[in-house]
Amino acid sequence: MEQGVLAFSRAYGHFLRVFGIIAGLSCLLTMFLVAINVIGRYLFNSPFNGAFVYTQSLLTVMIFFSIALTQYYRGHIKVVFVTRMMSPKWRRFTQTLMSALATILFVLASYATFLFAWESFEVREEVFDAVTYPIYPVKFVVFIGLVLLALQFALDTVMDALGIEDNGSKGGH
Amino acid sequence: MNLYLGIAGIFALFGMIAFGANVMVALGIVGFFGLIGLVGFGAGLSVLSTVFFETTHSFHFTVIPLFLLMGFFALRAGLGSDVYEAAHSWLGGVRGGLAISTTVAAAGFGAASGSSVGTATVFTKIALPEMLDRGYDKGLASASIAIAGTLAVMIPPSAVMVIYGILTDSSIGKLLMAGILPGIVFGILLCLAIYITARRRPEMAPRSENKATWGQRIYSLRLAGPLALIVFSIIAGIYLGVFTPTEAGAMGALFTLILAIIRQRGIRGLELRQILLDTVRTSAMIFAVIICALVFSRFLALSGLTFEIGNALSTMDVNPWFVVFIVTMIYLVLGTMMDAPALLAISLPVTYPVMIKLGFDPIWFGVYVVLLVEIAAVTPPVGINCFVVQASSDGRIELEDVFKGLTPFLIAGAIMLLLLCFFPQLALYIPNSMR
Repeated sequence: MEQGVLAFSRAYGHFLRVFGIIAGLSCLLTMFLVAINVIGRYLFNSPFNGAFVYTQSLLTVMIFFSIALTQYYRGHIKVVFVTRMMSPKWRRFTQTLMSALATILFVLASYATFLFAWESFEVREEVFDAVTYPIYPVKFVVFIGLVLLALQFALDTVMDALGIEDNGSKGGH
Repeated sequence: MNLYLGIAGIFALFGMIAFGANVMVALGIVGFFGLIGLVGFGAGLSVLSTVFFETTHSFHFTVIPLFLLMGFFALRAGLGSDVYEAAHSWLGGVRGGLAISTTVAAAGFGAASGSSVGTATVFTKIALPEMLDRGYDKGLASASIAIAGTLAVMIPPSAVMVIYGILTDSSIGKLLMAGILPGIVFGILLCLAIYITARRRPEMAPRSENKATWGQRIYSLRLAGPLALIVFSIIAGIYLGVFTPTEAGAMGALFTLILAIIRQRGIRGLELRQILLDTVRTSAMIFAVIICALVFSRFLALSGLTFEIGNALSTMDVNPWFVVFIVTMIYLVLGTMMDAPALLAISLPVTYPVMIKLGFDPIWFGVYVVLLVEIAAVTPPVGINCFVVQASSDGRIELEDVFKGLTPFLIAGAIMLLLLCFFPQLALYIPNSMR
């Protein structure tokens, strides 16, 4: 059982890393997009059309494609000042409880953001700016990111309850 | 009734954080269930459905990952050692010169990296062994590095200032500009603290015999100079209205990337994939806290708690500076236990409306609060920066050494806070004169 959960956790970590790399490339693309816009504007009097709106959407991709990976590496901020003083049994109990609460929160958030994205999809919502493009795929990115996060927290709940530690998730690489 | 729910929410928030919940989860759970209690399940869900997209679908907030990217480029490329080498060549001959060089280099490098913890890590590796080998007191050497890291978040570009701007809906450009003068003054105060300590007790900081020649000094600027120029261009660009902060972040990241490629003689040595992953993971961590803090602050605003606190303080005729004192104590205590983004996220929904109601300038309060959380970051019993310095020292110093050496720097920090209170123009002059 424990080996199975651990193997699944690692496989899921690899899966999340793919999303993380897409998020990283979005970050690099954003840098180039904004810089090209500035250079084009000042040196050639020809700004990059749509840089502003594309950058907005890339930020959403950046954040939601890496939010679950951040949790996989335990990278979200937490205070361990009090829990460090607890007995291992109590620490495990509180960790399981907090992970379960987090799962509930992000399952609800996934549901809410799905409704939001679906509404947008139904009317084929578009951005009207320097360029016109459909915005609903970006709203689905939020939903996908939160589903991945909810799954990571569900996995954390199981692992916390069983007292399993995935050391591979602590290295941050 | 709503008021009691607000108070219960604050207790629940601290309870959850103490019991090990992620700060974002605690903020989100309390905020969401609080909203359900106040306005019903449908309205609570409606807030959740929009807040994630609306907060991240923003050009202006893209400044955070871009500043972080610039910092990670600088960190990974080893530009910290170039800045240190330059500062050492110019200032190494002064009494306490090694520690002063470290402070000046940390201010310069920290401005580019924007990371207090990152700067402390880099300079522990670069400067601590040299100071200890030259007979510097362990406390003075380690504490000067721990405190110098805090300059990183005062001098732009600074992600922490941007976080304050997002959470309070204040001008990010003005906030970034507001940190410049206090950052420089604080840097000078820290150097003075080292100099006075070294003069009073010369055995703590033996004078260096090797003075660099003018040729060596000029040569030392070959890579530190361009980095300083990038930081200066960012500041000048934002101030003169040439760039928005996001554009400044992109240009800064691009030029730091070019500098890093030159230093590493190619892109391979940079580990670009790891830099990108580090950047997006740190960004995700910051945005997760911000988004959940916005849910929590909507709950608090709807409960009427912050309004009532502000009202009570203004009708009770309490001296506003007494409130500043209380707020200072709260931040100093909480800041020893958690880092800046989390502390700002949980505290600003309460403190910001109260301070504004009492007539304080939002930009001034931003600088004051950021300085406070950074001073708290080196204050015992936790002091995150102190842990970082000790952990990166390869066992050459103990945590107690760092804490022992902090006294002159904490005095400098207290003087800086007082200067900000007595001369608010220190923070407000540059933003008020912006185009």
